[in-house]
Amino acid sequence: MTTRRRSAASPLSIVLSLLVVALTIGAFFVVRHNVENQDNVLLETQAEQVTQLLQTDLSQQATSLAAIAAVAEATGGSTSLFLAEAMPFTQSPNTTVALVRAGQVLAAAGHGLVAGQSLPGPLAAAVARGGPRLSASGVLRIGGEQVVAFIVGGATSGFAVVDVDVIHPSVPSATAKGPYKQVNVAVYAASTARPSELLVTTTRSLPLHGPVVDTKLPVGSSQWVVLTSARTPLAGTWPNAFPWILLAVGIVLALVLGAVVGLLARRERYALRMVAERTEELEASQHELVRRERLSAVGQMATMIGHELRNPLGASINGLFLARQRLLDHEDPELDRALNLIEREINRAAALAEDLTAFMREREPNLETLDVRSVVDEVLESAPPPPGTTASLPVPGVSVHADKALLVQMLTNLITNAYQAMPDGGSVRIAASDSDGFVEIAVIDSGAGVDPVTADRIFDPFFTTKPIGTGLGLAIVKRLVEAHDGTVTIENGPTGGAQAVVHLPRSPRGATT
Amino acid sequence: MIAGVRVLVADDNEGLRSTTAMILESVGCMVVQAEDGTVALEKLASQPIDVVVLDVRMPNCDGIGVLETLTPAPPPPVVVLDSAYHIDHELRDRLGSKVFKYLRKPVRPNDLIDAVTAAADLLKSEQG
Repeated sequence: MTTRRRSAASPLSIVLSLLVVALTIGAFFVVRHNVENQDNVLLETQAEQVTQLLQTDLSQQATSLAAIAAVAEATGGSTSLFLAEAMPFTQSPNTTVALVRAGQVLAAAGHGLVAGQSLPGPLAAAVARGGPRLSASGVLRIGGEQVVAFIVGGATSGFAVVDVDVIHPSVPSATAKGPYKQVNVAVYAASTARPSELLVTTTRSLPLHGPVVDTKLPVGSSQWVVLTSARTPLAGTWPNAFPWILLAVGIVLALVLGAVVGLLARRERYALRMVAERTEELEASQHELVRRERLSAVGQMATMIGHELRNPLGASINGLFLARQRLLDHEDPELDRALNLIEREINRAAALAEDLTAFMREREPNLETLDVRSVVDEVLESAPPPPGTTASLPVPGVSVHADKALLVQMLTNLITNAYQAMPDGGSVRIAASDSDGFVEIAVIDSGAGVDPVTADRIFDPFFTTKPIGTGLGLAIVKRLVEAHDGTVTIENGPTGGAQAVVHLPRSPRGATT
Repeated sequence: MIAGVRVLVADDNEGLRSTTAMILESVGCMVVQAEDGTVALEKLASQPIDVVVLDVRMPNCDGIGVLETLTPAPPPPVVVLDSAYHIDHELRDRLGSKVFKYLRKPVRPNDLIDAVTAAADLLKSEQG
């Protein structure tokens, strides 16, 4: 089972995410800039409206005061007529309208001035600066109060009409309609927004913050300044929120896109890896199939040869037997030697035929419980150690489920191979043990050991390092062991020599006993 | 005791069949030859045979076919010469006592003589 690893985000998903984030940020700034521009335009419009409104008010006031001044001018300063004209303008207790001449109050409507008093100094100075057109005094501090005076002077008579308004600039004017609904306004009786010249404001939060529009309000020869700022987004809450919504959506989209692309890239990599693995497996299977087909053809040929050799070999053996029978009474050492040679070579050919057939034979093992020591004893009896070689039996008590004939052949081939590894004699130890569901049978010799150069070919059919032999002995052992679902290895032993180890499952599939 | 034993040798290989017959005749057997299973059955039906030496792979009815249709009753003991383990354990169980002994080719002449002798002795003991 393949272990799943958390793989890093793919470069493509990172690039795409960053791209979307970059585009989103760009769009955010563009949209916000547009919204801000829209807000500014609306603010300027509002500021214009406010200024025009104030201008209108001032114009009206100028007109009113001019009218009163005209009456005073025409009536020679009649106080009664003045009061009749002026009284309607003093509805507010903060407003006083006075008829003034040479610094003296001739008549006054309202509570701020009284007839006969001298104008306070700052006010007198402002009146002195006045003319026939409306002029304003700026913010004056008289008697502990802040006032602003609007003056229209008589052209020839020296009369002046003065409108004195008490102001409370620290108290915001309540405004709930018209252009004041969405904006904060601060009016200064000067050309710059000096706090000391603040006339009126609609907010406590001064100075105004955020975008502020500065418009000029001409009052006579003076210039007042009107500052206007927005209370709430003039373009509306939604347009102002939109850039942030766009940014949030863009970032989420970037993350989702990155995740999706990353997932798709990972899946593609996984699919490609699976395809590569399956292709490799298929190619390996194909190679194995071709190899087996080849082996099958070779095997069939080997089987046929094995079969077909037996009859001529049988006839040759019979012929040799009959010849020896005829020559029983003859003493001819040369003839005997020749006949012995024939017999030896026939036996070699018979062994080859036997090995070919045994190697290619497909047979299901006929399983039975066998005592390993007894089987080894039988093998040693039919294949005794040559002179100079000893063989030892395994300990008793180990049993195995196997086909007896096949087990005998397995052990015969391994023990014979051990003998051949010790041409000058030695010892062969056969050991058997039983553990973990397997029976282990080892054949250990004291020969030269396994040549590492050829070690991986040792079980190949027809492979041999000996001058005689078919090279099928160990290949047959491997086939017989594998027919029992077992394994066989041949390696160098810890004390020199080779050790062949066969592992047979204690209960192979198909075990019936 | 093998002298006088009537043996049928059935094998399609002429060299092997004739040398086998010569070996058995050299120890006193009376040998009849058959080159395939059909001829073997004809011989068995037409003359008394004490022991059969039977090859497995033959044309026109192989050794298994002969065993499965063996006459007369009781059939004579049969020594089967198998060249390539054509007869597995399952088949051996099915053939049962029809086969006296299995020998693997190439057979050593002395092993063949011993097997035919033992078969003849069994027959003699059964016949009393």
